[in-house]
Amino acid sequence: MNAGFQLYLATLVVYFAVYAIAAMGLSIQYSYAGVVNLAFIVFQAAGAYTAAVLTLGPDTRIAGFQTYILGYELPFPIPLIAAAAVGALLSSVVGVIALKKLRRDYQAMAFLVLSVIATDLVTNLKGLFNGQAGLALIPSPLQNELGLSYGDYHWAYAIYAVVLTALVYGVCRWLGNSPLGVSWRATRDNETSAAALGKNVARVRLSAMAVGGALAGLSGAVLVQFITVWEPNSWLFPETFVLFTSLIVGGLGNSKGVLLGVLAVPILLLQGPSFLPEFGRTGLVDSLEWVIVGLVTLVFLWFRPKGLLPERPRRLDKYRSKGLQALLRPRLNRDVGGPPA
Amino acid sequence: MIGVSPQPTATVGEKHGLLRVDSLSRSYGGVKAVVDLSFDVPASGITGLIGPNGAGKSTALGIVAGDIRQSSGRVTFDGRDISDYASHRRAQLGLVRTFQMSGEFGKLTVLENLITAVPTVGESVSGALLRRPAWRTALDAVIARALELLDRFDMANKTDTWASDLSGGQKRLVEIMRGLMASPKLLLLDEPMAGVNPELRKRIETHLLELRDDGLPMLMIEHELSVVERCCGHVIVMARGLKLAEGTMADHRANEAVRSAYLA
Repeated sequence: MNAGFQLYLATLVVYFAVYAIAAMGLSIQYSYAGVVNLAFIVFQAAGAYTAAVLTLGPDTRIAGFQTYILGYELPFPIPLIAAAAVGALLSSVVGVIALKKLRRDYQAMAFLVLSVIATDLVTNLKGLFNGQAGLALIPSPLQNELGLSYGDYHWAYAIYAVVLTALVYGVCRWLGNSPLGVSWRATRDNETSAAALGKNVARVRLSAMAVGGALAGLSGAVLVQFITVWEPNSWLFPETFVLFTSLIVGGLGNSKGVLLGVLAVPILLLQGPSFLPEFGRTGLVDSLEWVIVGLVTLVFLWFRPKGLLPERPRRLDKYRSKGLQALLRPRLNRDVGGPPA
Repeated sequence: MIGVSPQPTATVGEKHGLLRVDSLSRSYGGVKAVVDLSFDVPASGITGLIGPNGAGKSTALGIVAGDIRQSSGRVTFDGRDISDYASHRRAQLGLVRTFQMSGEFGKLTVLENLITAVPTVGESVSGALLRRPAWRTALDAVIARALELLDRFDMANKTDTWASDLSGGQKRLVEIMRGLMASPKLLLLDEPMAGVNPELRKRIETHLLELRDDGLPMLMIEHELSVVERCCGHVIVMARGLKLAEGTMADHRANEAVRSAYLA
């Protein structure tokens, strides 16, 4: 295997991790809590910009090269944590505005509009994150400290990204099986009934927005510290649809389905066209990506709306614990006529 | 007593009735759905709410539960003015409702439908992440209670079934059980037997009578008058948004105005 291909593979692994972390965040918002957040990519971008301006150092270093706010040089993993926090905070603020008064379909529209406005703002407010040109030379974490070769560092980063993904997967499973996870799904299925049982629907959804936003921010930081550049074109609103397609293909509400969907859509399907020989006018092959995303979404919604790994009932066994066994024992004993425990 | 734990009510509630509705009105454009409606629901027994279609019964129940905002009037529950409370706050106080159209959580199992009705520490992000031992213990107790309730309602074999896969009648039972899990002080039932087969209807009635005898007060909209006769000591009759009469079913059968408006 030549070095170039190895580098490509490591990049694919990092991309998989980034998409997986983001898709798990979107899954909590959409598959669990029923929030159609069409601005999801904005929160990934917020995380990416946060990590960038907290590691780049002052913008006066190379005079006139790029301008941006803050400009700190904080050590790993502070920028990562800050990116997740900014994602969560921004999501919560947007959630308070969008979720409280609007019905679900209008919420989706509000989010889509937000996505477009956010891109316009960052593009035109040049002092914020260097406008259309975007940020470059964003440092990768511990690159000098580790002293690895270029190729080895790529693989080290890939492993680090996969470990983060595994951690996020564990946390999402943990949350999904908690009372909060059940509340998320209850408000998704019937918000009127949920309110009639005492659930503050807006607050339940807001918590999903915050968790999803944190994961979006985290994914942005992991991505930007790897690719070292970030500009408004990196997070145009159709990017959110790639994540939605991943969820639809993988299976809404199934944690393994999220990973499978990410493997199938942004990694396998969207990488496919880059192996095609260039034909037609310049950029035609690249734009085929969006055609594929659209077609795959339609095909799945039509023929297999439940996705490759459909959501399954969480059976009692999932909730079984030693404590529950002890509580149930007297009942079982009574049922079979044995002495009470 | 399994699954039902009516909370003690304040003395004010006992004196004036657990629920008091005062001069409630609600209009939709020019249509007056509820007009100057006042009644009390006592802290025991099943209170019936009957009347022809379009009488305003469901609107009245919706206003009491906080799903519909009144145009004017007040709702007092357990001695507290709850007229401006959102529905989830009313439920937290123990005013729990079921719906005319089934309001199950479709992609939650029957067990999950029941356990989600009970608030626990693990319902916030920090609680779910950091206080796992606490919510595990709480959840264990809630699940044990839910399983007992499922046994009592002969639904144990549906524990792991998605609520969307149940029959209409079974969904009703899930809704009633879910309401009970929320430890209501007053259960509001909107036509609990509508669209249910006769056999299951009988079962629901038996369960409601058991709950009544266990001391759970209920306010029930029902069209089947024989059910109302058997279950409800106190019955309110509505027609065209107005309260027509209050009393026992025997009183109403002797009342000419009620007979001509509804019973004829």
